Amino acid sequence: MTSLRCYYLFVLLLFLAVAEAQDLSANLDSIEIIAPKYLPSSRFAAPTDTSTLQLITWLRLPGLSINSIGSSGLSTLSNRGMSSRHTAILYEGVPLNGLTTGVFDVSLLPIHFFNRSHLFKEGLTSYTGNQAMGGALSLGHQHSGLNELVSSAHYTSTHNLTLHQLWNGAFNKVRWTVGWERIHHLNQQQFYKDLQLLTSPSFLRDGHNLNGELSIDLGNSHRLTAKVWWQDFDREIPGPYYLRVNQFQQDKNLRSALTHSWQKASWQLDSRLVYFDETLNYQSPGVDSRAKTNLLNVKTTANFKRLWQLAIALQSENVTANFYTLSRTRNSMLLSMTRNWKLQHGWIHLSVAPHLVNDKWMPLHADLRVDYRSFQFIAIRNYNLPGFNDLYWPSGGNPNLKTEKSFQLSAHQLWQPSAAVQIKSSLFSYHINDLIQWVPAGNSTWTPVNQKKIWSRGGEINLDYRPDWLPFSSIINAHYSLTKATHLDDASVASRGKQLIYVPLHKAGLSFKSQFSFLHFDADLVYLGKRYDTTDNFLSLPPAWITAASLGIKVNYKNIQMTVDYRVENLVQAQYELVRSFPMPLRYHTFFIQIKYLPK
Amino acid sequence: MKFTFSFVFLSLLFLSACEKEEPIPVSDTVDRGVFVANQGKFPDGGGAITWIKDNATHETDLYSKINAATLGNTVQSIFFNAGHYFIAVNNAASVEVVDKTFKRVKTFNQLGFTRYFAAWGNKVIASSWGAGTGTGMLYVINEALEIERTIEVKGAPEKMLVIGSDVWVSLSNGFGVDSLIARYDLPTAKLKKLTTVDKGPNSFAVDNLGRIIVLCEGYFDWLNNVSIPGGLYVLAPDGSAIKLISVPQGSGNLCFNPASQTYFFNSFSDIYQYHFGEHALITLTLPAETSSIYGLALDAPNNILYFSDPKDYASQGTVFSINLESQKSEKYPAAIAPGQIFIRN
Repeated sequence: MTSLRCYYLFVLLLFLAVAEAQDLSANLDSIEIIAPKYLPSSRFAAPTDTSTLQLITWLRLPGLSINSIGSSGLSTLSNRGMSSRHTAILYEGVPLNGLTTGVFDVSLLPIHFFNRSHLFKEGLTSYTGNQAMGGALSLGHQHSGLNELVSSAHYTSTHNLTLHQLWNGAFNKVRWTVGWERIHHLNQQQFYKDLQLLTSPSFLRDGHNLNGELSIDLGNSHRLTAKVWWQDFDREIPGPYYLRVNQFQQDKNLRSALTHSWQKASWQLDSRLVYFDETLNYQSPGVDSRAKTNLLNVKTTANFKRLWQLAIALQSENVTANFYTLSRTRNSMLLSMTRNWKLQHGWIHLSVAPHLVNDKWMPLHADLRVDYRSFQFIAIRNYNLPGFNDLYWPSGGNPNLKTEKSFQLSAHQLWQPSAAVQIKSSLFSYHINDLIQWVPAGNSTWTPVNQKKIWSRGGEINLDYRPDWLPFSSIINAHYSLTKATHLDDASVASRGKQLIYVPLHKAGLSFKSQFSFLHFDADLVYLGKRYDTTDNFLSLPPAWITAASLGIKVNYKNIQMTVDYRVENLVQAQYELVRSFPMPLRYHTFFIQIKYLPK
Repeated sequence: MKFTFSFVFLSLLFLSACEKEEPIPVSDTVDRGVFVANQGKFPDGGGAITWIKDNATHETDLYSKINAATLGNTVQSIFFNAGHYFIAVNNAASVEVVDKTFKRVKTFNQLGFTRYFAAWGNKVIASSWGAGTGTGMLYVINEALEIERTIEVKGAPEKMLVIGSDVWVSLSNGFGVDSLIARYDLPTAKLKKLTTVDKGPNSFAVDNLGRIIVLCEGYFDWLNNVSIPGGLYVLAPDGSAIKLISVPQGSGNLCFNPASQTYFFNSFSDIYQYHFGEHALITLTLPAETSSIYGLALDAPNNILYFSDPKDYASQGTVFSINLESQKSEKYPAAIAPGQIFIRN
């Protein structure tokens, strides 16, 4: 009861301050949403099935916005009204966000390999450093623990073919996974423009993802893990309304990580070496930009009795680009100290993390998380560094930019009125100061300044219901999120007090999953509220109801398991745009076949 | 009971998100007024044409209102000749043609990055930067709305000037830096003369004495962060160019007021006035604080100067007018990133 009282008190205070916030949080296939604690799943995380990272996956996430050019074009995520460059995509705890732009294109993720990812709804700067001020999506693959070979093919009626091979292996104290994904997408979609039904020309995306993971138990509580991820993609990027505008992009990325963990008595020591080497080339009429970036991160974390945690990370980032006058480097030292206090019915976690970047101390950030029974309260002071383009863009880059700072408050409550029902709710209030904004500066140039201030507040509610009176197993999920994210200050006077662009005030969803013998059936309904796409809210994109459904079978024959799925996306032909002038495809179909071989 | 309450509450919230829009009536004939080409939000927004008439914004997005369709991205300019309006939509590589009621008549597609128009009798010439190959195009569109001729141009053609059967084309800083004025004979499509001026020639004006004045914007050296000023030139009868005065980098939209024999143009932040033969520019006092100046045009018969303020290029822009006699100014809401202004009296 005490936790409920705490929660209600927080709700009341937030209501007084916000006046518009109400409800609240979430779940979904292959992504666990972790509202509160950093380290593994808490009771707020929703354990889910393995699935594929399709568009509906992102759309279903409450409080998360996806800005996408078509069904599989450039896509970036932003959480709770924060921008894409504040939402980190983590690989082994290190942000993958581009050093020049600060954003990551989730459309290039291997859709079958990362089968167990976590979405952190709160800022994570204290733990991961830059880019995670608005939360993070941590990519993960979960080994099945079995020896298995998995082959799958995924074909959509937009002429997109994805082939995938996966080999999970285990022998003695060694486990390994090798995943290979081949993509040949033509992205030929149907859409409406001015009441006219059109079919887009082909925009080829061709490439592959190769992932490997190896884990060795060295004995004496030592474990060594090596991971590597190679991406190689060529693609043509469409112009508005899928016009061919001769824009091409090439991505060649190598990501690798080596980790070692050692546990003895009350101590645990984790060490990590991460190296990224990325190439991003972009060509369009009059533009030929070529950037090569690399990142080296070495981190050691010491844990004592789960009460104390000390971490030190050294990181070096380098960009060599034909649009900079010089090769640019940033060196950081990230320190983090965490103290956990055990309470009778919960925990208090306090982290303080001084970070030194290019010999300059960043604003001290701190992270307080209080768990009490089924209630959690979080207060975080976060920061975000200016991107390399902000600092070094030859015409207008501003080397005097300050770091962006945020102060975040949130509260979470879990209710379980019966064994069949679980409700998770969250309220949040984020203030961001010194936000970097590019403004016209004369001489045909733009320059970034630390002028913008934002207040994002709202709530999320997620309900899971497992009816036990049905003759088959099923789960119904409903969620709603309200995100009121407004400009408190902005270079443009007309934008002050207005909702941020592409952040829907309301978002909701309803999904149904069921399984009966060898048959399974899923249905999704997502409501995407009105989104403004001009800073003064002069123009907006209308709300949309997006639907999808799938029907499949899973059969076992000896040591072979076969899954066949048919899925229909945008069932009711909603005409909607995630980014203006890029209509999303009308109804299209997906066929999926997977054969899993489990040797005895 | 708690669930029932929650669902009712959610339902009410959804209902509260619904809004109705009332249609705005538009008169049948778009006969006169000030037309503003709004580029739209880059790179995803659609452009719009704003129509200002009788001292008020008659419609911020005239084309969409009449045609229930979008113009596309990015609207560069609008022009009227021989009963039709022509709209250049450069990222969409198209030219939209609408009639006197602003109803769509025809769309020319795949013309490259379309820029500006000039009249040649009842025909219209459209300039286009091409597709980034360094070769631009001029398209001659006849009265039947057919492209009757194309002229290949070595450079990025911007604004043009037609006198008799000759067209002067400014080869601007399209995909690089250029400094040439090309003169073509239209009936034969032959190049008659290339004249070198400062970097970035972008607009023309003809004064009372028939002198052709060319404005060059200079250029900005991005890699070295250096601003190179432009210049104002007069073309001599032999085709050579004589520099009149240096102008701030980024200057554009040259226009001429025959009544006061004054040239006007704008830079990023100011509007300048120039009298032929003088050695200094006069900076006009602006009626309000503007973020920047993007488009400029002169309604010479009424002695009114119009200019556009795109603000942050991502919110609704504004068009200002200054009566050059009374100094009275007005303000008109436009659409996103208002740029070129075309006046039809």
